[in-house]
Amino acid sequence: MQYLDLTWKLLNLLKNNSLVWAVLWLILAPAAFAEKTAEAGLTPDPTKVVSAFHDALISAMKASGYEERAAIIGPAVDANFQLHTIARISLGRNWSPLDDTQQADFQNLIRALITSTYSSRFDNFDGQYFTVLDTTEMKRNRKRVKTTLTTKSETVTLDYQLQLIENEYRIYDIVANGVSDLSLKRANYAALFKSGGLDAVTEEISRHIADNDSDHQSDTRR
Amino acid sequence: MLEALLANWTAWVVKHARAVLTIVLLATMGAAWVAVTQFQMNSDTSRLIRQDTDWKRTHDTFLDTFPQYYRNTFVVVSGNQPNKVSQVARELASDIRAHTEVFKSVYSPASNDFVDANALLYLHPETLNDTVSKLADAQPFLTAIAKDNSLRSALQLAIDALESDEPLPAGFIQMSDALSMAAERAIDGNDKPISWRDELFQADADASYYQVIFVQGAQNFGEDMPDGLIINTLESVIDELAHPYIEDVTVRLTGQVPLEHGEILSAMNSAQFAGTLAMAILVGVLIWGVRSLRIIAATYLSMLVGLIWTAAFAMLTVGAYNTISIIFLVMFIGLGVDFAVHLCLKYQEARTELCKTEALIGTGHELGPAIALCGVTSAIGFLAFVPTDYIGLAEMGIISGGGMIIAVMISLTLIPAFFAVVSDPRPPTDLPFVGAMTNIVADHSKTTAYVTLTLAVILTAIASQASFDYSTLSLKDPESEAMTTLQELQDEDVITDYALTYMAPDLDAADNAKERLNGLAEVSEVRVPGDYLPEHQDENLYILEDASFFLESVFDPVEMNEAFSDAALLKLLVELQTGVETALASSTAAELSQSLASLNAAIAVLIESNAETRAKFTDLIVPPIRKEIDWLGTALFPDELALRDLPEDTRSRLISPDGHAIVSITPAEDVLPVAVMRRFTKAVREEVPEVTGRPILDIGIGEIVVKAFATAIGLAVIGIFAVLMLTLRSFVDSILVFIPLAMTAMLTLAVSVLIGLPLNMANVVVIPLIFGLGVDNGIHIVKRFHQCADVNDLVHCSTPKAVFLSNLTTLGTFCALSFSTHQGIYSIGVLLTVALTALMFLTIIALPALLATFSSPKVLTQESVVHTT
Repeated sequence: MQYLDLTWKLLNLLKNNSLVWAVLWLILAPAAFAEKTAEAGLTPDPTKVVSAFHDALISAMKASGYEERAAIIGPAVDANFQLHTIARISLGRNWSPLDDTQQADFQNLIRALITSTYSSRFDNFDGQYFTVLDTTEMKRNRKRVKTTLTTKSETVTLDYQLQLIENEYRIYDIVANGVSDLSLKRANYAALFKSGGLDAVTEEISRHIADNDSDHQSDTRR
Repeated sequence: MLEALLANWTAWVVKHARAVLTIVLLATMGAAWVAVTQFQMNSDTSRLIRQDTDWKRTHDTFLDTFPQYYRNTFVVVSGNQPNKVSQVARELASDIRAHTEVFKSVYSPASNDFVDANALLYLHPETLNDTVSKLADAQPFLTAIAKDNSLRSALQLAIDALESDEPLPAGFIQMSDALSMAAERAIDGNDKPISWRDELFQADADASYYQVIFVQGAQNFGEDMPDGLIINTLESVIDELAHPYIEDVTVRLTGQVPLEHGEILSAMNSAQFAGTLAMAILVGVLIWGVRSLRIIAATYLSMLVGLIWTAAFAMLTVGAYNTISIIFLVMFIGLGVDFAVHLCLKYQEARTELCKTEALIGTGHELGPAIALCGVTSAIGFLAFVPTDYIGLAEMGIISGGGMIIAVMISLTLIPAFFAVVSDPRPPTDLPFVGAMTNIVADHSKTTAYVTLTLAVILTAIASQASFDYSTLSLKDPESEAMTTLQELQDEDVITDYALTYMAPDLDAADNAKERLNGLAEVSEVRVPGDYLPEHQDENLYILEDASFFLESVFDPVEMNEAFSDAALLKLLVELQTGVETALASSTAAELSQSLASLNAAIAVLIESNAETRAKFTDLIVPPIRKEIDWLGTALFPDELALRDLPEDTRSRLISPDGHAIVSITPAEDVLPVAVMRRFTKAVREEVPEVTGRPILDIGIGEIVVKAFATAIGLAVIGIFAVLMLTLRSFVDSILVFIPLAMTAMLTLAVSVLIGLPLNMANVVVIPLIFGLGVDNGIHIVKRFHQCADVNDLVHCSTPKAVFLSNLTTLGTFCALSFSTHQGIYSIGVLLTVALTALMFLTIIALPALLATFSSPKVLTQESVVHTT
């Protein structure tokens, strides 16, 4: 994997702390509302989307096991991520020749990857907190929400890039300490596609998801 | 009457020998002054042919409407790293532009702000997609450089990647190599900046990248700037260019101006070299054949004097040489001595029986008319091109025709005067191979005659396959830089030399013509001005739009400007070294290991060296990569282009001020075979009659040359046959003299077929010349045949020897021409060598045999015959 792993490494800082169960449900509640706010037809606010996802992550960290975390993060990904854009751009020019079923399958795979990755990495709450700094304009219908994630040992900058579609902002890329997740996907998948076509890409993603799953088989028993 | 006149002239010359020699000497000095001071070479090869045709007018109208296409020099910059090529081309173009006194326009279509800004839009979508993927790979590194004014973020990025549990990303190698390269440069104290754009995009190392700068000379008082000045100025600009990447690229010149200039230089050098060689060969032949110092001196002297007079004559009449006519100066070395050789050998022969004055007058009396006649027939051969539209050969005809007459006059004056004042030459000796000759000619004359005639039929069959090379570049030295570069550009599809150009009255008409022409099987591609916009613009804009989703973070203006001390840098380097060593220990991939090993070595030295070197290390990376990031910031976000967005200098080459639009039509097949070329131009002209371009010019000029060739042969044959009839007064003899000539012509054409040396614009002169030069031998032999008792007598007299020697000198000169780099001169040399060899053997062996078989000696009045034993 490309620099993607660097992102995960940064996020791994969270792993080694003990879980605090008590806070879990307090945090979970606002995450559930994030989607509704966006659907309400108010002036779309990208910071709300980012905050909603942050809240889901905090909740997940406080959850009891991998499956439980995935159950929290999955819906948050559906609600806050522009999965179609991520799937399309990560395949580049190889996207449009795919038929509808292949595109839908790939998009689902991307969803599963993002969900499993966050579920795997954000597995331990130890007082980490997110800070939303400000929002900047990007080209066309896009905005960037700058945030930081503070752990006990360091602060990571997380820039969320969001796209406005049908009056809703949704996340299509997260730039962690300057490393773009979408870039890493694109670079990695382009190389794989060149050597082995779509199968090579889906195999790699499936392998990654399986790794994430197996790493945390024991979590629920804890 | 002529005989009496020449006998009187010789008697007068012999009587006033010293005065005559003095006058000739003075006149020669005057002529030399004219020849040297007035020397001029016509540099415009297009003026070699009178082109009063429709296609020429269409071409002129085209050049009037689009003067940018008139006489260009292409400065070709090439190399395997596109950014280096582009950087050098850009600076070179600006340096050339500074010489406004020499250059009118400098057009650098591929290195300007427009191309920089829209470079990605012009890529093929697949290439662009790959490029974008490479940028995705480089995104973390680029972001680290963009947001931090030191190497801190970039080094931290590398350290983080190395410390991660996961395998190293593929893009890591690129970053590692970049760091190693900069470190090595900093350590070596190498100031050469790194071409980061090439490193980041890692161009295909096997591919060549070209940029062409089109340069036009300024006009001076309505005259074109001399080609030599244009070339020399460009060469000195290129030499003086101190660009750091100059070593990594190749800069060459081609295009019309260098091609023509090269051709003229090559013609002059060839003439000079061949001339020197011919002089040496001449001495050798004379020493071998004559073995009399006095005869050699006389012959040489008359040749030199004749040469000088002819050179002066050329400047006084024609006024300038062209690339073909200049070779007459070389030919003269061989041709001019012929008359002198005949006179000397005859005199040498006569002197064995008569006193000096009688021998001299007798020689003039007997040989004079034959020599005058030979001068006339040779002149006819040369002059045959004068009434044609082929000005180049017409000019050569005038110079050469005049030269032949001069040679006759000089020989008939200088030789008697010379021998009148010096003592006698040593008596004659037979040529070494006379015995064998007697055998073939005298003993087997019938067999020889019929073999000759059979051979003639076979040769004619082969000769009918002879072809003409229509390429207007056929005379250029194919090894020259201008030619090899042009061929390379053609092979690499950088330029399409054989495209036709149509000037549509407006853009709509251009589109309309495109539609019609696209339907033709002979046409592969039709380009209208709109096609100079990016071909896959829509798709590329889409790809770039997608790219901006993940690359926009690179252009985030937030910066880390906190000071980064050398101590801090050193600390990160040590940390990086640890990471690299650990990774190196566990690496199994060869490429990665190699990259890590280089990085490890470079860092180790960098840690040991001083702060200054480390600062340089930073400077080699951060500021130049930031410059590339700035460029990417423009190039990744282009706007859709329309025709009006093209730079003015590009647009004006496609659409004229009055709205004419250029339609460029590329052939579907290789048009080098002239039949294909004709089919292509014909098909296109049926749709758009007013087209121009190299195929039209090649065919048009070629047809004029071929027509001139046919006319010249006709004139030469008729003229020479008339002269033969008048002098020999026998139809049979005239035909018999003609047979070896026609056979030689056929043999020469047959050889041109067999050795793959087609007729071209220069060597077409050879065939009419065969008749003009060859007939001399025939006249000498027939005359002597009728003076001798039988053919055996003929073989042993001085005539065949003189014929043989004079032919040998001519042959030597023509052979010297075939060592030329100039293709025209070279091919004339080769074909004339073949022709002369054939002529020599045919006239010495076949003609006497033919005479013996089909004619009989009519012994002339006894007193006019000088017997030999």
